[in-house]
Amino acid sequence: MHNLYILATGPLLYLSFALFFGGMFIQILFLVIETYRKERFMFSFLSLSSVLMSVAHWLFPFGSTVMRREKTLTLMGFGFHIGLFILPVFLFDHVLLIYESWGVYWLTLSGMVPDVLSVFVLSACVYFLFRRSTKPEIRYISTPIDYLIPLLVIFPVATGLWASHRLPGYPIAHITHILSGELLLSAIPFTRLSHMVLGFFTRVYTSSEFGRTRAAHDW
Amino acid sequence: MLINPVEDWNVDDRQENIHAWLGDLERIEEIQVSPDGDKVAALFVSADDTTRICVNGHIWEHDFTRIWYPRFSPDNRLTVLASDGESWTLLVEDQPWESRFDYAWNTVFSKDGKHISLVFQNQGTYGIALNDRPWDTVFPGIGHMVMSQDGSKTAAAVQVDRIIEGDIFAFQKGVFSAALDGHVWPQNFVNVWDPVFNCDGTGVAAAVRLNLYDYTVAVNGIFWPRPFECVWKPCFQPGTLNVVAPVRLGQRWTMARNGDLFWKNTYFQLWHPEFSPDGSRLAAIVAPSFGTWSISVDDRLWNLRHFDAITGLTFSPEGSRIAAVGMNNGKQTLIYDETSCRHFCDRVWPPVFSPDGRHLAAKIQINGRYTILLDGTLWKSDYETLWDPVFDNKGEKLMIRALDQGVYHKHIVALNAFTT
Amino acid sequence: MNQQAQITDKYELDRGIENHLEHLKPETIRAEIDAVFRSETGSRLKAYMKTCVHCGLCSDACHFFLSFDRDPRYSPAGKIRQTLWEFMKNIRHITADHIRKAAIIAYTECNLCRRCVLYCPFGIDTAYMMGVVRRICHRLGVTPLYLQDTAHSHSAFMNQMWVKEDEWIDTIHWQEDDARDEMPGLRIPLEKQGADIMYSVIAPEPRFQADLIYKAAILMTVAGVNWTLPATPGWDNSDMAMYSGDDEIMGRITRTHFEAAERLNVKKIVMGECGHAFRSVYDTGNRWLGWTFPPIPVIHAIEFYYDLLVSGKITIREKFKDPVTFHDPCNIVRGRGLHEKARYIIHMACENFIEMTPNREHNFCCGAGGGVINCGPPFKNKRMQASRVKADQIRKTGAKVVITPCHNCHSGIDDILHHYKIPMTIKFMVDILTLTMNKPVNGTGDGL
Ligand code: SF4
Ligand code: SF4
Repeated sequence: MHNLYILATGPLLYLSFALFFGGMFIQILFLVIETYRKERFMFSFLSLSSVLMSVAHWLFPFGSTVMRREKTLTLMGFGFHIGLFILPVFLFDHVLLIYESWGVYWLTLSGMVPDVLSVFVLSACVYFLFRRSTKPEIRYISTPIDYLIPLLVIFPVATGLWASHRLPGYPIAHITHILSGELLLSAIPFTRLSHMVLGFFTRVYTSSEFGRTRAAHDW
Repeated sequence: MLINPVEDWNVDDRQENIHAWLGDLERIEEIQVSPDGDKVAALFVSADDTTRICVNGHIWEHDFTRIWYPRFSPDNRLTVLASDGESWTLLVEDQPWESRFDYAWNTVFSKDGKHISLVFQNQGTYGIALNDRPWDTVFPGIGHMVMSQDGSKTAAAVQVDRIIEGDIFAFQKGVFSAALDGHVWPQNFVNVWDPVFNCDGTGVAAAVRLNLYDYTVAVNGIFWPRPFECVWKPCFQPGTLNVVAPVRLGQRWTMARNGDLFWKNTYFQLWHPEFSPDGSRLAAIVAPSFGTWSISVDDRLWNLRHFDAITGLTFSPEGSRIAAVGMNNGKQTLIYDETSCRHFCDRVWPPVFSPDGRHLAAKIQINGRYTILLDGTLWKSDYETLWDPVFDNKGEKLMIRALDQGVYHKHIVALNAFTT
Repeated sequence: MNQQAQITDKYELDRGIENHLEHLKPETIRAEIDAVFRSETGSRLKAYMKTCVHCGLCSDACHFFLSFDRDPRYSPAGKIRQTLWEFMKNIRHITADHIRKAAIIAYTECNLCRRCVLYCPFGIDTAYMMGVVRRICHRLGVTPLYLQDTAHSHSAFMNQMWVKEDEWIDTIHWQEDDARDEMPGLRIPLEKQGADIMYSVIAPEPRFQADLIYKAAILMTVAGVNWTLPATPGWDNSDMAMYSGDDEIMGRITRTHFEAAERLNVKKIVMGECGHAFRSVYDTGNRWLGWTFPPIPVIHAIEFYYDLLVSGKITIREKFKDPVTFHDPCNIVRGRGLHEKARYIIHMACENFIEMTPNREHNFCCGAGGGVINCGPPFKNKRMQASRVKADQIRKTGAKVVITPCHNCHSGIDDILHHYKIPMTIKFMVDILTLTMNKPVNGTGDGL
C-alpha cells in the first residue's frame, strides 16, 4: 500500500504531468505547424478585438444566446468547469503537497467550499450522463467514450470527497483518488477532453472571421 | 515600324467645346476620343428615344434606332454597333457593313486598325465576321473571340454540338472546341477557354478541360498529355511555337512550357504570363503566398512583395522594363523596375511606355480628378476626364487628351515640361 | 424518426447522384477521400472533429432538425456523424451507398447557412465541414444533376443559366427601352470604361426577372450614379460551383467577375440583391485565388441603398403602407452583418415593419440557400418540409409582404408561401425603393 502511494505520488504523478503538458504541447505544436503549412490563409484573418468580444460572451454564464436558451445546462456546465478547474488547483491538500515538494504555495479553499464544489461537479456529471442518454439527438452522436468521460471525472472527485472526510476505507479511496486523478490528467490530450485547449483555437478562428470578415456576432 | 496614331506632333491645344456642340442634346454619354486626339465622339439620346452619335459636333445621319459601343480603331476610324430594330450591323465612319445579323457585338481591331471583326448571332447560331465577311461555319455557341496581330485571322472557343440544358452527360462528353476562321479543331473538350494566337497567326493555343477534373493546354487542337489541377490562359513565346501557361499542381501554381514544368518555384497564384516583345523574358503576376502579390520575371520574384493585388503587367517595347499597377488598402500605385511610385491614387490605368522604353506614363485618378503620372512626376493640371497618354516615336513628347468643364483639349507637351 | 424513411422513399432518383455511383470502386472512393484529407484540408478540420464534445447544442440551431420533428439525423452534428465521422473512422469501408447518403445529406440537407456555428460553444463550423463532404462528392462525380448542370453553365459561359452574350446585351437594351417609358432618355451604360461603379447581377435576372435590372437602372439614374455593366462574361456574380464543390470553376468565375471590373477600371462593384454571390466574391472565391479581400471593393445592394439614402441621393416620397416583415439572408447577415443597414432602409421606406423572431444573425435560413434549391425538383418536397419552422416564423408576423434582398431567399420563400398557403407576397428591397422613392421627370411612381 505504502509502495503504491510512493509510486502514485512520485513517478506516476510526474508521468501524468508529462503526458498532459507534453501531449497538449505537441498537439498545439502540430496544429500550428500544420495550419502554417496548409492553411496559412487563416492567419490573415485573425482579429484580436473580435476574439476578445466573442470570448467575453462565451466565457461568462448566459453571455451567448444558446446559454440563455439552455439554462440548466449552462448552470451545470459552468459549475462543472469552474469546479474542475478550482478543485485540483486550490485544494489545501494539493497545495500542501506542492509546497512540500517545491516550496511554493498559493491561496487555498477553505471551509465548505471544496465539498460544495465537489458535490456540484458530481451532480453535473450525473446530469450530463442523464442528458446524453435521454435526449435522442445527443444519444445519436454519442460514442462509448462520451459516456466514459464523465465517469473519469466522477472517480477522482468522489474518492477525493470520501478521503477528505475520512469515511470508512478512506486509505483505499485516497489512493484511488490519486490514481484516477492522474488518469484523468493524462487522458486529456488523447480524448475529447482536449477541447479545454483546442476549443480556444477553434473559437479564435471563428470569432475572427465573424467579427472582422463578416461583421457579425457569433454568440 | 512603329505605328503612331498622331501625324502632327507640333499642334498644341486643339479644342472641342462639347457644351457648345451639344446644344439641346441634353444627355451626353460615353465620350470617346480618337487615338490621334483629333476626334471626339459622344452618344446621346434624342427626344424620340433613339440613340445617336455626334462626332466633333456633327451628328451622324442614319436610320438606325439604337446604337452603342462607339469605339475608335487604332487608325482613327469611329465604329458603332447599330440596329434598325430588326437586325444589327457595324457602322464604320457612318457607313454600314453590308452584312446584317440578328445580333452583333464585341468589335475588335487589329493592331494597325485596318481590320475589324465582331461576333454575330443569326437564328441562334454564332460566328465571327472579319471585315464584313462572316465565317462560313456557324456554331451553337461562341466565346473568347480573338484576332491575330496582323488582323488576317480570327479564332474563338465554340460550342460544336447543341445540348439541351440539364443534359450533364452530353456536356461531360465534350461539346466545346476552338475554331480558327470557322475551321474547328478535330477534338472536342469539356471546356475551352482563352484561345490565343501566335505572332504570325498560324497557331492557336487554348486552356482546355478534358473532363471535370483534368485541365491542360491544347495547341492547334492537340493537347498536352500531362493533365493539371487547373490551368490559366496560355501564351506563345514570340517568334517561336513554344507555349507557356500557368498550371496548378498540388494546390500550388507554376509555369509549364509545352506540357512540361518550366519554372521551378511554385506560387499560391500565378497568372497573366507575358513575354517581352523579343520573347527573351517571361514575366507573370504572382502571389508567392496567400494574400501577398508580386511579379515574377523568369521565375525570380521581385523584391516588392506587399501588394493586395496586381494588375496591368506591361513590358516596355524594347523589353528591358516592366510596369504594373499595385493595390494596397484600397489605393493603387504604379510599380516599375522593382520599385513603387510614391503617389497613391484612387485608380491607376495600365501603364504606357515610350517607344524606347525610357519613359513611363499612366493615367491616374487622385481625389476624384484625373491627371498623368510621368516617370513618377504628376502633371501640373488635373481634369474631369482623361484618356490614356500617347508618346511620340522619339519619346520626347506626350499627347494629353482631356476634358474639363465641357471643353475637350488635346495638348502636346514636351516631356521636360513635367519637371519644369 | 420515420420522417427520413418517408423522405428516402420519396427520393426520386437523381441521375446526377446515381449515374457515377454504379462504377465507383471502394479504392477510388478511398483515394479521393484520402486526397481531400491529405492535400485540401488541414488542422482546421481536425480541430473541429477533435474539439466537438458531442453536446448537441447545435441541434436546435438547425431548421432541418426542428422542421423534421427533432430527428437526430438532421442535427448538424448528426450530419457530421453520418458523413465525415464515417469517412475518418472507416475510410477502408466506405461504399457507394455511403457516398450516396453523404451526397444527399451534404447537398440537400444542409444549407451551409452557418446558423449552427452561433450555437456551438467552440464555434465549430459545420457548414465548412459539409463543404468538405461536397468537395469529396464532387471529386467522385456524385453531384445532384440540376446543381451540376448549373456548374457546367458557369464553366461554359461564365453564368449560371446558359445565357449567351447576345442574350445578356439584348436584355439590357430591352430593359433600357422599358425604363424609358418611365424615365425618358434613361440609359443603361454598357461597357463604360472608368465608371465609378460596376453593377453585377446573377443570371436569373436576365432570364426571369429582368425588371430588376430596369429598377436598378431607375435607382442609379435618380441617384446620379456613374455606373456601368460589362457586356462581356463577368456580368454574372453568382457561383454555384462554390456549392457543388468544384473549387477550380469557382475560382475561374470569381476571377472573371473581378477581371471584368478591372478591365472597366471601376472604383467598386455593387452587386444586386443576392446572398450566395456575395459569399462567393467576398469570402470564398477570392480566397481560392489568393486575394485576402476582394481586389476591387465589393458591396452588396443593401449597403449601396443605405449609402444612397444616408447621403440623400435618393429620398422617400411616400412610405410603403402594407405591413412588411424582413427575412435576413444568411450570406449577408451572418456573412456580412448588413442587418442593421437593411432595417434602416425599411424604416425609411415602410410604415409598418414587423420583426420576425428570431432575427438578425439568428434568423433561420430560407431553406433554399447553399445550392439546395439548385438541386431542383427531386428534392423540392424535402426542402418544403425542412422549411416548416421558416413558414411558422413568417406566418406569425402577420405581415402582408416579406422583404428579402437575396435571390435564393426570394425563390425559397416564394415556394414556402405557396406550399404552406401563407397569404403574403414577397419583394426585393429595390421593389420597395423604386415604389416609394422620389423620381424626377414624369415618374409615375407606380413602377411596379
Ligand atoms: S449550416 Fe445551417 S443547415 Fe447546415 S447544419 Fe448548420 S444550421 Fe443546419
Ligand atoms: S454544439 Fe459544437 S461541440 Fe456541441 S455537438 Fe454541435 S458541433 Fe459539437
